[in-house]
Amino acid sequence: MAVGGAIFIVLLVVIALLAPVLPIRNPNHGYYELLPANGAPLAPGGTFLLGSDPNGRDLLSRIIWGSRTALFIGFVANGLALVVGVTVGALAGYLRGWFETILMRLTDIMMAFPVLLFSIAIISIIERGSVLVIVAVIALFYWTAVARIVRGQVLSLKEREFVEAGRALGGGPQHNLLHHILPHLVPIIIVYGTIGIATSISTESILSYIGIGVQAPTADWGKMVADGQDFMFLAPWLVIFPGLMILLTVLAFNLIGDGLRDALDPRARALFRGVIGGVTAGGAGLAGQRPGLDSEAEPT
Amino acid sequence: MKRVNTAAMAVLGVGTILLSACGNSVSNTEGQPVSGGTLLVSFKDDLKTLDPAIGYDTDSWSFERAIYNGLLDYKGFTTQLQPDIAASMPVIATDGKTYTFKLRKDVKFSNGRGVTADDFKYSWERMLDPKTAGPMTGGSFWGGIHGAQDFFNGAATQISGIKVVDPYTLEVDLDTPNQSFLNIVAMPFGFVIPKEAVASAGSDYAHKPVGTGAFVLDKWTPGQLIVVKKNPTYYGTKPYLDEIDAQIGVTPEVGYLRMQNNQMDIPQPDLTIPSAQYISLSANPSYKNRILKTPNVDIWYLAMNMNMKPFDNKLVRQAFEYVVNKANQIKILNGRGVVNNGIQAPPMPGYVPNYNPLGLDANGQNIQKAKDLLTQAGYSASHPFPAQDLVYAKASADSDRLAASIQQDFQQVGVTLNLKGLAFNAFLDITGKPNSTALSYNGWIQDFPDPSDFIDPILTCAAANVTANGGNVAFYCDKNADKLADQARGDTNSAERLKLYQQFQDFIVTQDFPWVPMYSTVETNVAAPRVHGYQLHPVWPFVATSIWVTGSAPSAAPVSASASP
Repeated sequence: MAVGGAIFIVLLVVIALLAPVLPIRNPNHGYYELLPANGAPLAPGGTFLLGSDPNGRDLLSRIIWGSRTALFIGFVANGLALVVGVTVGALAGYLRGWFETILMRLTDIMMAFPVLLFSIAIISIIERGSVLVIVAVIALFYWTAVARIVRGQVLSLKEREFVEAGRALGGGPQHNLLHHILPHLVPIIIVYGTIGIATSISTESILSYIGIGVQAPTADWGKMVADGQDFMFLAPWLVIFPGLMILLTVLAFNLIGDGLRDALDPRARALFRGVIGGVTAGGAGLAGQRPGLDSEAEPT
Repeated sequence: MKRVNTAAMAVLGVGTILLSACGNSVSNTEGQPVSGGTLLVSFKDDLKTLDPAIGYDTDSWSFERAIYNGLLDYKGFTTQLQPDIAASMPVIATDGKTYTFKLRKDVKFSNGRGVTADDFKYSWERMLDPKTAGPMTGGSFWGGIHGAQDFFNGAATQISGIKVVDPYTLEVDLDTPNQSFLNIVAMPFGFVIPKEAVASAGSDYAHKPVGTGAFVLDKWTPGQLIVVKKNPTYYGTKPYLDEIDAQIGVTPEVGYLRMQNNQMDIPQPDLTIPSAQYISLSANPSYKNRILKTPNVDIWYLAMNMNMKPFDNKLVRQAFEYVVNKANQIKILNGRGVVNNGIQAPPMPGYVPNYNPLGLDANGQNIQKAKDLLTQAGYSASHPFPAQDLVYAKASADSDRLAASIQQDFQQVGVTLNLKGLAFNAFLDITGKPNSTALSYNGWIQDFPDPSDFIDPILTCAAANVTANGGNVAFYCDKNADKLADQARGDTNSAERLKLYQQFQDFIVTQDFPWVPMYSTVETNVAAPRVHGYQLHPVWPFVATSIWVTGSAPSAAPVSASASP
């Protein structure tokens, strides 16, 4: 399963990178002259391989260019979330004391916000349609889960002999964190990072679907589903193809994450099942509920 | 109807010049009318009001027309005026400034009291009273009544130009002759309401209307259901229907699905059929011959704010005239419209078919000319045209598609447009304020079938000289153009008058370029097969009095849980 997911993602990334040189139509150009007089979108096959939308735009091109939007936002937003989450979690777990209290309560507060509602508010205030703002908003909400997991890990790692040895040899917090603890966090970061991409992509699709994400004419899967909605019964391909792409991409990243978790840290599986399951559910549900996080690993 | 959100109202008028398609079926008349039964219709949003002094949208007008009457009304489904509560057409003094209306003596409000001239004086003064805060307060169409300005300023407690001569005679004096005054009188703002109903309802009169009309309001559950029933004391020809039920919170898309499942008679009767539904219904053998079509008498245009950069430069405005591919827009509208390069709409008197003084091609473009003009205006690769926001009202997915096609057209001449789709109220707010919106995508639909309605509220200095809620979104103000409009408004020679309006159009389109005129639309509607006698009216958004129903009533689906409160 994980291999299947990986193959899909590799293909997707390659096609997305090659989009500008592939022999496909301009995704944002409306070929109105090819549409019939009543303006009905063209069905798949024939002139357009995957059909056209009511603006005469090529659905295939838009799906390929839409993958660039999805992957870019997925990778960058989640990358940012990881950097912030790991930093906050590691510092809190290592330094403890009032520093930990402040950081972890901040994390709790952030988690208490209904993600979608708050994203809408922020995006409406700052700037609608800017890709950077969308990236920032997604990162803003999804670092919290990483921070909690990392803190739990650091709490436990900190008590291990090799870290104590580092301390005994005179290593400061910076040295110990970077050289002794961080390497042990890498598997979790990779696993969570992969699954987080799926969450980021689905969030981005939802934001675009409700009209506050990526703006016209930029191709985006979520927006394509929204645009095609009123034609759903007449031209089902307008929502099926982009919807399928969101589904497959999110599924693929989740499968890869699952596979990586098994491969990188089989022993941790039982420990993290609750945490990662919860994070995924929280991301997908977007309801601000992350049931699995109750089982957050405390040092024993 | 003022500024339009979606293609909204229906107009047939003097002749369907450009719209011979589809046999121009304007009615579903089959068999002998039968009385009785309930008609089920649906609306997306709850009604704003049933107070005729306030309502200025097609939803409200659909019901106001059923509940109230004015002095005059349109004869059948034409644009010709005839007496309604008036006993005969008014006597107009030779100076064109004094109108004398004789009233019928058999007209009763649904509370049982007879209607007199005092009721009209009360209703009109209330409608124009700044305290009522309706769209007509402060002037607009009615500001020309003698003494109205003093009334607005608070210098007078009543309007001296509205005189009750005797209980059944009303005299109205104007400051200057106005050839469209009778059309103004026939607007819902002129409907008569009883003083005692307003007094007892207080601020809630909008929900407790009392009128003289063919129907009376029976029940209004906010956000869910409106029921009107046949008025037993109605003085005119009684309607066939016993009752009309309007389900609220049903989108047109859902409404048309329900209609095809025999759960709805007429979905959203005041709006045209949405694109996707139109395409599938016109391919459906049970419905394709039932689709009613009629010109909407609307004009859709880009307004360029004359007071804002870069549109204060005439060369820029002129360049924009040549850019928009209007044929693409007609295609997005499923062919339900015509390219329009002027400011009047078919079949309004004064509309010129195939008007094309700028020599545009069949698509309404001349890209090379646009590029040359932009170069002349000082824009080039090294000094590119600044990106502009195109502000539009997001009524449906079609609004986005239309805006996207304009965005693509302007790319061809190196102009970047950012699409800013707004909710209708926000759109009206931002575009109606001076120096607030440079470029906007607007629609104007007739209030009444007279060409002055396409000029006075949207292209005169008086309409530009406002601080908010303006209709003149280009803030176009030219003394010479104003003079032409004044002259035309009072001209009693109708042929000469139309010539003046055509001169005005030439002036706008070839001299000053405040707008890029684009297209006019065709209204389409359809009713379930059990509905008969359904016709589209040239002025009113929905007329139920000609409708009768056969067979069993649709099994109404429950109102969706998401209906707005």
